[in-house]
Amino acid sequence: MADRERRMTPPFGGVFVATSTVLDQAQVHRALTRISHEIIEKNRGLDNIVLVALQTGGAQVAEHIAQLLFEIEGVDVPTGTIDVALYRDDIGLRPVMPEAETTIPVDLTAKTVVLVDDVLFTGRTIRAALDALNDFGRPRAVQLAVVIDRGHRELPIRPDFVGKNLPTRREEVVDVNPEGVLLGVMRK
Amino acid sequence: MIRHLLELEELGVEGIQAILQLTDRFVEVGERAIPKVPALRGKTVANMFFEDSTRTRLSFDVAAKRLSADVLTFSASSSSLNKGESIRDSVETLEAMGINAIVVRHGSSGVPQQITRWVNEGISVINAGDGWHAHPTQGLLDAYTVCEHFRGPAGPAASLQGLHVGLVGDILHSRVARSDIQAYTALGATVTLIAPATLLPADISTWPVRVSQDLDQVLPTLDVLGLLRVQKERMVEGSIGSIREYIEEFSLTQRRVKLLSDTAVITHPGPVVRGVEVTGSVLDEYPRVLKNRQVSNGVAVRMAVLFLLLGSGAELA
Amino acid sequence: MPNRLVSYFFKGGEVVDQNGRRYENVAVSNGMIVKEPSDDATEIDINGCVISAGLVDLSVNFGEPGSEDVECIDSGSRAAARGGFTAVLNSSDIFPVLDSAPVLAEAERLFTKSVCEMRPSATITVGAKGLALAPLRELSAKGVRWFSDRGTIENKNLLRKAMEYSLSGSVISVRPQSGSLNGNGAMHEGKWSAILGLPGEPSISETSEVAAIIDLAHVTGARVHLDRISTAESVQLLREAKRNGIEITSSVTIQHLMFTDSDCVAYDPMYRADPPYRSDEDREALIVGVKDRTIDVVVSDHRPATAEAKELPFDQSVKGVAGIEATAALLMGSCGLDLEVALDALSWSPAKVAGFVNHGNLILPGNVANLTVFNPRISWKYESREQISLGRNNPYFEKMLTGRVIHTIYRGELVVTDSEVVI
Repeated sequence: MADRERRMTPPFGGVFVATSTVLDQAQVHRALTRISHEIIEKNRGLDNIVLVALQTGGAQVAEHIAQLLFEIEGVDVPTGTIDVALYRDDIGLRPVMPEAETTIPVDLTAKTVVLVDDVLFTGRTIRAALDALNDFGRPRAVQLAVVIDRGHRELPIRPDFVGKNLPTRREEVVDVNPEGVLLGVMRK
Repeated sequence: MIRHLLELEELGVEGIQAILQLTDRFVEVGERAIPKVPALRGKTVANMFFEDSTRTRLSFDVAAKRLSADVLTFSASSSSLNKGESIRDSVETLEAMGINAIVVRHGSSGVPQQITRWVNEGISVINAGDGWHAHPTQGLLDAYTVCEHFRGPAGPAASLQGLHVGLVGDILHSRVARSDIQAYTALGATVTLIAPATLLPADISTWPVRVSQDLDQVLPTLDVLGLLRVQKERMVEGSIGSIREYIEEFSLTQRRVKLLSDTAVITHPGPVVRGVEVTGSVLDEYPRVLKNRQVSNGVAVRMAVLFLLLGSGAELA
Repeated sequence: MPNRLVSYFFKGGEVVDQNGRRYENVAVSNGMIVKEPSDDATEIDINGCVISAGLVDLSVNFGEPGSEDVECIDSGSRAAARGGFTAVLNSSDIFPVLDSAPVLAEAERLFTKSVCEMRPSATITVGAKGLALAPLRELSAKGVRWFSDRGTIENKNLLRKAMEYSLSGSVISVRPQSGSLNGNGAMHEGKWSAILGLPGEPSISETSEVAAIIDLAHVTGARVHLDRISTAESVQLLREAKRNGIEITSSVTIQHLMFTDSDCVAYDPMYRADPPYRSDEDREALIVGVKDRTIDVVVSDHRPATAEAKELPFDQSVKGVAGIEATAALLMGSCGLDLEVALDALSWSPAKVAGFVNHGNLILPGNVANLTVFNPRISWKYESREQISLGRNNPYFEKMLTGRVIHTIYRGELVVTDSEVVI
């Protein structure tokens, strides 16, 4: 889970204490390789595909997928990032700060956008991202790839590509980092 | 957590850096095909301009609208102030309509601060220029623009360390000068004021600046030349002998602009009085005039300020 | 003010007058201080208090006639009495301007409503416009002793003529402020005006006038008073003038001993004053000037205003404060002065300077009983809702003060007892 989200999940602050390892580095790599194949398969190639990573947790994941897509198909897929802080529905309810760059390298009109994030939780971030994408053009389709789907959806949003479905308790925290995926809790 | 923006002193270095960092984000928003975000949907910003100011009012207007806030404009000339209503009553009237921020411009120093004593908690007061005192968003946007030119996006720790800024013109009556000095020096720049003694405050011993009366001598050492407006009425009150004489000594003429280094930039807060503080052709021909970039960045800075005060819930200073 | 035949016996207090301090009971009967209390005298215990001559304020602005909304004689004089004053000199800074015998007659008729002695001051020039002399001799003959335009008179020749023309016994009072050097200041010119971006009134605006007026006083030999000085340089000039034997007196407001230009930092119009509050060095020099008696008189400069007038932008708001109810407490409690010095500045000297013959005298049998009983140790909160003055411009509201006027006796009668006006 992104640093930002960790800091902002009530209760704010605290220290992440891992209770178990969900995926190790190799397992993440395998999961993303599978997702890459699924993206190619579902879209019958990589024509008009743009990866857009959600800041900040999705950025590393998107880079990883772009690398795998290049290895598989030899195609350099345009990859952008988007910070959805200004589109969130909880502005004023908790500290919200846009902290990372939004870079969309191409006009998204008529493209197929694959949104990439590390963890799918309530779906509210994805909702904000869908709004944000509209300001960069009218994509032909938007798909969603996540490493972990941990449930607890609050909006009718489902991922197209999932690394692992992980049943969690609400108060638990999922941490996706370059070494793997950890499940834990925040301690004061 | 700050609620109002009255002047830059109270922000401190970190506060200024935080706003400039946030400005990076809004500069990017401004470059989008649809340069508008829903961040302040449902918030209402009241522009209270007791003094004419087209550019600053429009800039705040655009900033608020790009954040999806609603904007009310209260201008003194068309308001009940002409009928003798007090500022306090006007403020309370706006407050009763349910607003979240008041952007104030007034010809008298201190009015925004006075207004903070009359509004309820939950309303932010933003100083859009008061008397000779302060114009904090101008100071921020000038520092941002200079930073952007020399160092790129502000990032988390914007710095102007090592840069030499000269401010030329009517310092005494200039709120822009006061806020520029605070912004530039907070970020580590060295500031030199260049003006005749009559256009400087009587006692600036507490200001972190150098003073010179010799523009020719200072020009080659500058990285940034900040021009300030000089009004012709200063002649009447005996602050300057004649405009001709002022131009002779303090105007950026074609001859003088050649004294600037190859990398130096020129800023001007506008509106420019061509032919007084600067020869018109200099502004048109000099390759590094940041005037228009200042205007664009002004919108982004004001978006950052509005978002910080109204939307972020973030802790600052 | 009719004298009821009343007798009091003030017991247990410390008498302070020009002859020093002593524990002595004071008997009052039929308006006079008497040797022995009469049999029917009401005993009043003033243990722990100081009993002194009644206080005299040479600068108040009661707005009647003309500005009764900011203060009328009834409210103003009651406020003064509560502040320990038994005599006040009303400013000529009112409308209609007191510059002729008919206006004087009307003023004197209104002054009979006062619960303390109230005297008018008249203007030096017609309409206080600085162009032509007012009938100084006629007004003087009718009992006016104090002449002032409240500002300076730019035409120094006219000012010289006024000094020469006025009858002996008259005082020509000038508030030294140069009309051309004042910079249209909203506050003192210095580092704070530079920071706050407010137009500053430089010290030389006052000092240059002080120097000129001292010279004129020397040349004409007139009784000249410098009203409300504010700078260290003025104090020094006066000190030298007095050393050179020039008969010139001066006053300072209590506020100028309390506040400085740094108090303007929040743009609170409460701290806009005339003259402006100066630097800390000036404030200290003024306190020294009061201590060494270079400055003869401390005034409240009670200048009531409505709340609206103090809600304007700082540079447009009215100047001054309405603090007469707190003046004695502030001078005797907060300024670090000896009680004798404070009483000299608030009673003995002003009575002498302005010729209030029945005030500021020794506490001796045979003298008129104009007295103030002050408790120097009591701590109290200045509650805005309990204030008598109609002025809402008061920086002391809701502040804790040390020392309070307990009783005020005007012509033998208790006007204030237990800090409440009782008539």
